[in-house]
Amino acid sequence: MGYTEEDLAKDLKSEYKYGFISNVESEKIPKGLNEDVVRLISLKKNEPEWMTDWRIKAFRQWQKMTEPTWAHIHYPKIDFQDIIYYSAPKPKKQLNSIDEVDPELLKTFEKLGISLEEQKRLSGVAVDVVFDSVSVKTTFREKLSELGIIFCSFSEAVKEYPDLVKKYLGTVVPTTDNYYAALNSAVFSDGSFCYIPKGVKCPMELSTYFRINEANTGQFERTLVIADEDSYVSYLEGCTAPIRDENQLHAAVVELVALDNAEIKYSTVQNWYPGDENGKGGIYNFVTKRGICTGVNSKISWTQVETGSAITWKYPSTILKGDNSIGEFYSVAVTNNMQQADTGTKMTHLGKNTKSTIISKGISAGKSNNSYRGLVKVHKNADNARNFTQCDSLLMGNNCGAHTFPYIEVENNSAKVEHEATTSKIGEDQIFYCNQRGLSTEKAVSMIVNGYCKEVLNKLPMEFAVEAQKLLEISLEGSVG
Amino acid sequence: MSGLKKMLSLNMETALEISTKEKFLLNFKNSEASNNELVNQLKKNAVSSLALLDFPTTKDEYWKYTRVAKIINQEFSLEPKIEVKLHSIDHYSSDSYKVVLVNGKLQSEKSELPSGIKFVSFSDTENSELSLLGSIANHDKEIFTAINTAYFSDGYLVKVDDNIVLDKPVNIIHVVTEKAVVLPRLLIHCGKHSELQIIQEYVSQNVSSALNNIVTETFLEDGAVLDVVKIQSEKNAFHISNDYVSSKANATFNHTVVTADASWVRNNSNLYINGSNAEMNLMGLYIGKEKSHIDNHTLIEHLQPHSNSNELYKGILDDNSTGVFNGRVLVDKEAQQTNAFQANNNILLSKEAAVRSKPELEIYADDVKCSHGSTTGQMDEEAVFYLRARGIKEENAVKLMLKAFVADTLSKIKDEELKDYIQDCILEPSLF
Repeated sequence: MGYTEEDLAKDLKSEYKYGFISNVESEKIPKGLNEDVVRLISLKKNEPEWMTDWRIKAFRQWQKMTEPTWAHIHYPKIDFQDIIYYSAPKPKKQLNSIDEVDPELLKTFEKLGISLEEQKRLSGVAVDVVFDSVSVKTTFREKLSELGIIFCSFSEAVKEYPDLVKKYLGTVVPTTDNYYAALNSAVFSDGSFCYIPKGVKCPMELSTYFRINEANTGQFERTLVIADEDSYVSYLEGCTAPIRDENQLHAAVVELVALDNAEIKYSTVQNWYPGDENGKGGIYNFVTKRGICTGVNSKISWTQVETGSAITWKYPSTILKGDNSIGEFYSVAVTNNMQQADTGTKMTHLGKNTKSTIISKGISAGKSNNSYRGLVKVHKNADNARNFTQCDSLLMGNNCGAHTFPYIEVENNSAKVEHEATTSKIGEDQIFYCNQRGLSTEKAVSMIVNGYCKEVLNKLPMEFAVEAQKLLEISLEGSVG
Repeated sequence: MSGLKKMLSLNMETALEISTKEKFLLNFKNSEASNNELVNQLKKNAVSSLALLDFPTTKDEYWKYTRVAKIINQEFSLEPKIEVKLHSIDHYSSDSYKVVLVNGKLQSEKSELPSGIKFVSFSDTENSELSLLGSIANHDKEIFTAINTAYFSDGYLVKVDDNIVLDKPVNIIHVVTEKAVVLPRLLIHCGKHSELQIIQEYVSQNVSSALNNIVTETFLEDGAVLDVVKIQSEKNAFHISNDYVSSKANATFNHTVVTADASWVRNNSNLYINGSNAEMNLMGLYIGKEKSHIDNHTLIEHLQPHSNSNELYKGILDDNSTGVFNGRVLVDKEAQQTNAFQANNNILLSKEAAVRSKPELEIYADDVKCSHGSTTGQMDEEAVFYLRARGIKEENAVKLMLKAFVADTLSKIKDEELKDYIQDCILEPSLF
């Protein structure tokens, strides 16, 4: 896993390296959105009636809603009729082994650096790959099922574990939650489902890789992770997309449920195509992520590294309902060129003795705008709630913006809530110090940035941490001086 | 048939909606025209912007935590009397120029107007001196500013000429005596290198539910120094204060606002730094008791390089009171080498008290040092215990701790006598 100077030099020269398009035949439905399209998606997926009804209900609610405009982002109005809501790699039959996966697809994943073969053999990470919002292959399923762990695509879960899905789907992010969550609920095509039974510590990291391949498509996947009593799971998520001139929409929903004494660790490295330096193209990433600590002593920890997307609108949140539950949020958000990010978290303290920690590091370069927006809410009955928030922003260059919009609402006098934020640039003295020791300015900057983000990167699993570090360097390439 | 019904009910709804605002504006139909053309024109503009504005609800981000519905639905008296017995009102009585405004009107016989500076009503002022009036108070966006602008009966100009340093503070005592909508309007203009200290005391006498809707515009020329200390203790009254300050280079503005024993307060302080090397200090101290609601909104726009701003708001909230702090610091692309600091600390003393804090930074320049912090907590039991172990009664120990907690919010008050007055006569009785 050593990362040498040569690698860095190579990476610095490279542009968005995941920008290839795979020639995988795919099955699409026509552009546009109406009730028939929702039914068609449901039909294509052979879904039971309750699922179709659920979608239709969500769609009708979506029609009544309006797009949110409060975020600190600007973009032309999205034409929701100009998007393809379903695109799947042409289905063959149910795949039994990895050998049956389309070789073209496998090549794609190799390019992505997540060769399934290799993953399977070497790293022992179970991967669920979602390609244009359809799950294509889940590895390590048998091994996991020995422990009673369910890790499969969402559509399979709907068919095989309807009771579990019915019980938890929409309980954390209801269909009416917000505009994009409602849209997702109506048209989601697939996603991952994970259930960890009582008392099981998941022995390996579970991982989902998302990729948008088809042009003009939106990706709407849905993830549901349930950790039953006394269980533990670490879940990873990665995203990439090809370079395209037009903007593509990604509106996902992630729901986490942690029961008594359970712990979920959810890590994301988001590297959607950010658009070129003039702001052309790129992914609109409008994602709703929320977890609920239902049980006592439960814990949900979010870690995210956001380097991609033209626009990021994302607030991984935790509802601390169980007594003594813990919520954590660690985030690095990098914006360069014309990127815009409005991201942060919500910590809702309901139970007694609940604790939350928020560490957010924003880096803006180029002409980008990077905002932290967060809510810490201590409800009346949340005795002895504790929150610590730190959000730092780093500005590189004179054309970017860094903003902080924290909301702190305290309704209980036994709560201790702290928030602090700083904004500054990289100190000239720091750069000078590095220069003196023979490091070029660019290298010095990358070193300082890495140090600045260390607190968050340390929370990532090993493989991700290395990748994230590389991503940071690539994202900030050329932003010095 | 049902279509018609729907239309009718829709009409009813809109009719109702209009009526809240219209009804409220009926309070002002009698507003007399000023003998100053400039003022009349400004009022006309404000009336036309009022037509487009509506009262905010909690869905408006700017008013997320403060409801105005219960205020605007009140019935107010149209022509409040202006008799008042000043000796029955607690106010700062040390050496200062006293200016008494009762229900927004100047009481000349009770006032001692400062000599050396100008303190005149708009109607006695020449146009040229009023050219700045309404230039930064955005009556096209903020409805309460628009109402004030459209209907104030007379305002006052405080003008300090270049290089004038006034010998003692000007103490403006605002008294409300009746359930009326009071619209005080001030224009403060500080000349180059002048120095002025203004105390503004807001008190109420025998009233319930008066609405004091104040707009103050302040202009600081190069090198001017202005200290403003506001003491808000209007029991049983609603207080909305919109302050607009524009500063040129090297100016210093110290603003301390103390809110205690008040019922319902909303302060909007908007500062625009239009020159380099300016220094802005915004200090706030609010003590909430019973059902009081105290909301402080601040905006500091750094538009030129090399300026400093410093903001410190501290609150103690007891009983059912609520406190709101929303501080916004905006650093423009041009404003390199800005230092901006912002802090909000709150202590909750009771289970029913609540606080909402929203410190915001919006930064578009890279060579800056900006930070903000916000904390909410409770009395440090250990510290109280420490004091009690040394023979100090619990009540006094808590008081001592609270006094220490708020002490630094008074640090920008230069006048020691005034500081003592605030500590002994405002804080002491309201802390318990």
